[in-house]
Amino acid sequence: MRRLVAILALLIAGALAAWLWPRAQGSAGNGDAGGSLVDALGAGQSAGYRVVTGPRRLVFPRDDGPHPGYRDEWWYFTGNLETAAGRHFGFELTFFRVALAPGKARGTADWSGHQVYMAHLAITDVRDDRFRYRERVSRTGPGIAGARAPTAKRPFRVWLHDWSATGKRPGRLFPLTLSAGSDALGVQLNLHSEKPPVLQGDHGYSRKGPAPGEASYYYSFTRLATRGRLRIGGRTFRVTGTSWMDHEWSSSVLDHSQVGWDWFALHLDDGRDLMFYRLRRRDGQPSRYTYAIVVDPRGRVRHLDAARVHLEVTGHWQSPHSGTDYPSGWRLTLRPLGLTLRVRPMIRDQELRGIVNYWEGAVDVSGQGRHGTVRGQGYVELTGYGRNTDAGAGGSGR
Amino acid sequence: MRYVLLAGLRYLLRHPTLAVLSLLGVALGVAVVVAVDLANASATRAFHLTMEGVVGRATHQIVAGPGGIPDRLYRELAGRGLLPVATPVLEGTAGLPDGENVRLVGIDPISAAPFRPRLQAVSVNDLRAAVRLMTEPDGVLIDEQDAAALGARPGSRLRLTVSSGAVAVHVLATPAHGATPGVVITDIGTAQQLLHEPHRISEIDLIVPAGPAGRVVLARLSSALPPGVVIRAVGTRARTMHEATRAFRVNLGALSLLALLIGVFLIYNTMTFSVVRRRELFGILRGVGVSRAQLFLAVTLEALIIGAVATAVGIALGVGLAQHLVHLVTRTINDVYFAVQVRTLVPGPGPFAKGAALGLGATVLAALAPAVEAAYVRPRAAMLRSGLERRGRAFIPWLALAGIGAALAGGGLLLVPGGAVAPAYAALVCLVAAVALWIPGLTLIAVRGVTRLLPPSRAVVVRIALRGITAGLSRTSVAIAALAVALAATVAVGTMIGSVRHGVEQWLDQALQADIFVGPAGSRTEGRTLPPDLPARVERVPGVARVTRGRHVGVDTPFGVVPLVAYGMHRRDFGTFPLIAGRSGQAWRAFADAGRTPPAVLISESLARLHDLHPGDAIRLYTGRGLREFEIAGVFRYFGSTRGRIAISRQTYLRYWQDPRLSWIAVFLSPGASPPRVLRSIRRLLGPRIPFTARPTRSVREYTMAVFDQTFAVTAVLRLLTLIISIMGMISALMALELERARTFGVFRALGMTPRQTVAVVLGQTAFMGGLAGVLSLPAGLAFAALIVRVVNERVFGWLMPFRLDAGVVWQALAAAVAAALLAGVYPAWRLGRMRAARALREE
Repeated sequence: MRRLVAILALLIAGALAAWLWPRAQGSAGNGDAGGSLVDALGAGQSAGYRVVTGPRRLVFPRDDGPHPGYRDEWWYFTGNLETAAGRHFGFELTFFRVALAPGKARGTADWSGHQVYMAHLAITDVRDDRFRYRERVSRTGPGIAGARAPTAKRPFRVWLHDWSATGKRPGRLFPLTLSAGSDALGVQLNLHSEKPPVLQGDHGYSRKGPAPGEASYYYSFTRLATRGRLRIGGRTFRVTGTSWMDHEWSSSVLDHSQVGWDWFALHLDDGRDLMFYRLRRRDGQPSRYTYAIVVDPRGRVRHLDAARVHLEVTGHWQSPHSGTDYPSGWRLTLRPLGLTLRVRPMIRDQELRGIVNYWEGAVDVSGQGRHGTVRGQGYVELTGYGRNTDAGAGGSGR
Repeated sequence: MRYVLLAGLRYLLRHPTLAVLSLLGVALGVAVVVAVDLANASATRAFHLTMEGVVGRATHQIVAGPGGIPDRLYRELAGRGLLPVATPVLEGTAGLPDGENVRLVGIDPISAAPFRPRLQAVSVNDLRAAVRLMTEPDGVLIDEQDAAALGARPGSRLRLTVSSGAVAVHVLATPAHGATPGVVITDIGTAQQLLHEPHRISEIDLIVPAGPAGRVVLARLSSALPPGVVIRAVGTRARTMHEATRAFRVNLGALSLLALLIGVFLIYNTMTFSVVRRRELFGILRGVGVSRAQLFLAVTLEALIIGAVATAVGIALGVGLAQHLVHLVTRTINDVYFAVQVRTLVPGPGPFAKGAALGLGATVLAALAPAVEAAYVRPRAAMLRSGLERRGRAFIPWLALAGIGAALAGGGLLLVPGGAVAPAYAALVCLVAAVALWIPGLTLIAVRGVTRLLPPSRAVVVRIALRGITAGLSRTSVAIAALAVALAATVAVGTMIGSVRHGVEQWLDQALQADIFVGPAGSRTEGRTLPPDLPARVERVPGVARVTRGRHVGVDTPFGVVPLVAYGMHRRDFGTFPLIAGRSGQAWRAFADAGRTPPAVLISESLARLHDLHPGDAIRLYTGRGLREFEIAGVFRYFGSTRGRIAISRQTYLRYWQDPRLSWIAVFLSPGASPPRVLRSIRRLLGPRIPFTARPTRSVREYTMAVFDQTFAVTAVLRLLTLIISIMGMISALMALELERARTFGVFRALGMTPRQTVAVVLGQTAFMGGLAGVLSLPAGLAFAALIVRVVNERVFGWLMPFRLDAGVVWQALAAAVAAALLAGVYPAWRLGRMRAARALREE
């Protein structure tokens, strides 16, 4: 009985509490419900957009400008630079264009419009082992971001707020000025092309998968003499070096069996430029859409038989930031050229974490060719290594 | 030593009711403190988030005149890299099908993401919604409540009247949290089309870091702005929000203090009882050779063990309670202020540390005093309670003296110059202590008084009952004190809410005499002005008698920016200023005379109090003609803000500021006019282009009172919570007290007391104690309330509230006291009535 009193007291307490306070309704879920940008942009849904289905003649300078009917487009600049004292830097400046919906937006208001631009600026400081980057996103709005082809009267321009790549002369792409960033991290570079453009794939038609539409239009300027200034943490460095430009557009996504890609753009000291990429399948094997070219010092292009190019990973690096495990060091064997190259990142941490995570970094090249030792520098891009990386728009090559 | 401790614990095990009641008492004390503190901390966090939701994280805004900001300026600033973290906003007005106007707010979901992280439906966090907003034609988001009122669902169409005509917008989603009621959110491009403003935005929100880097950004930006476009810090808005919620937070703070006091009482009551009850045992232990130190240590250890277990239980219980409280708190904020998302607890260490310190500290301290006492008496004497009670009785005058001391200290604290809030709170604590200290003496006096009133030869049973209370005064008075203080707290809180509510109601009645109020619609209303010809057109509407014109600005004074309102009003409406100082006729003549030197102003009560200003004093204001001196013609009551405000006549304002614009008008109707018809006519005049709404002042009044009631809803629940917990503490104490006296009742029964008389004695005792606590709680509660209403309120808000006693509050307290006491008596009475005298006499 005495025990019962104690239990009774507790029961009363419980009953009072229950009577006084109505049950809390299910707490509202909040926070990280959203997916990646790629996800949100409707990866895999290209209905309504123009689709790359076969080769067509690229017309310049018109095709230097934007192609808003296609879903994705990018203008990519990467390069290796040095001060007079020999201090080495790598840089990346990229402008991405994404159409949020197919077709033109209704109305003429300044802020109407489906086009969104994103830009990445990254500088690799080899001596201090520091990789710094910035990301910007903006819709076109009242002309605060956009791109235009060079015309007879106006030079080329792609811009996002005060970041831009601007042609110096009307009617042609080069020479070009890159201007982006702030005193904390900025570039101001002049680019002159030393070779004619390289139309990738079949006259610029670059296949990425077996289905029709799994392709892009793609051309590159593989060797750009570069001169200008870098700003890091308030300091300014005068630099010279060599850069690479890609311009690519499509509405495709990667074939579902593919998870990402490895892309190499290398400048050899003998004046040759090499480009190699392979798409990786989900099962870890390289897909058959592997591609390699070599551009000789005079600008002549030779397509290499991809089956006779072999890439072997010689090292790994795990990002302390994202936990992603990236290959870090390769042996690239190009049998048609009798060339074996060792490719090593200049610093290991060149991971850019923004709306999409990827590794894009300056690399050092050395190797053995038919005529002796070969050296060089270049840039490597690795996408689709993250556990949850969606290999959609961000990884479909460029 | 171990055996001493074991003896104590064993005693508790053999008396599980006592053990459970002790644990429950301490646990409840800890629980109430932890729960109120946790809810308080979470509410503070919720407020922070609310402000973030309303103001966003913007630190600055670029604003321009009524023409807004051309898009090309945005392009130019962005192109020069001057807008590192910025987002454009375009606001306009849209008419709903029922004729009411809402704000249409166009945002850029991409650049707005860092500004409104809580607006999750339209931030980059939920890209699908953001992309849909940007790409679907005429897509809008509407707050869940508004949508429900309009019958709109995600996917349905809603007819809006906008400047481009009638349009059926597409409801994409109805977010429950993050959207602001009365606002339709859309993409800025859509807004530009709907509002026919294809090349214009209203403002640019900025996030500028604090410090030198931010100053550089601001300086570069300012120098790039054309004339008429300015940067403004957003801090002022956040401050306004902060003030709007201050009353609420002060309330919760006071309640947390009361909860702590009640927790301490409960624990003290429980532990003292548990130890005093075992005086016989201690006497025996001392008799068999246990030393004082050993006994002392054993009691401390036992208290620690009980304290630790009870604290753990209490914290768990407190977290459970807090979960419900937080739900209630945030629901209040959601209903009243703006949407808040957080519904979970913020597990800061503070409330737990406080609860643990209370549970362990108060338990041990409460056990120590009687333990010391038990350890120092001669073993034989310890076995007799009468000795303890006799000595306790001797303490009563000293306790009463200490109570007087506490009351004097409290009074002295109120005299501390400076008008700070902390001394007022300290005075409140002193007053509570004084009441508690007087209670043993008052109990004694009350028992003696009632005994004397009884017929000398009759009413033996009543005498026995009453004497029983004084015989165990050391415990009964603590129980009475605990209940009385808890009841006093509820009386105080209830009276405070009633007084403040009454004050606000009265003030609204006086201040809101107009029939229709035309003011800016939606948020971001600062600086918006009426079309100049509108007041005259409203005056021509049939049924309108006259119009008061208002201009609301912030004016610089030597003591900072103060809101100033210029009134263009009729003589007869001057009564809407509830003057509390200055004579009305005189004040009006000075107020209305624009040519007078010095010109006259009226100031609000809080401003007068803050700067010690009185009618006839001078106040200096920065006018359009430089710093000028004004004379204070009167002081008026204003509960709308704690910053104070200055009222000036429109003529005087025009003369010194040369600003003819108007912020609002108040419309008075002719007798016999139909308010709905006039309202419709005025709304037609406004149309969809003018971002102002016309509302009946009645709805303003109702809304204000609804806000008030919602704000105090949590307070009322907390009041109930403390009351229930103290009643439960009372029940446990009285129940244990009566059960313990089984032997005494055995003697009574043996002497011939009937079971019915036994029941009467038990119930009579508890009812008397409860009634006494209830009666004592009334003056104490009213004193607490007076202190809160007249002193704390005035010091916190600068408002002098009228004091108003609510009869309901009084009856509630008395009823709760007697009910608690009777409940406590039922079980012991039933048990003692049934027991057999012989068994009870056998003892243990």
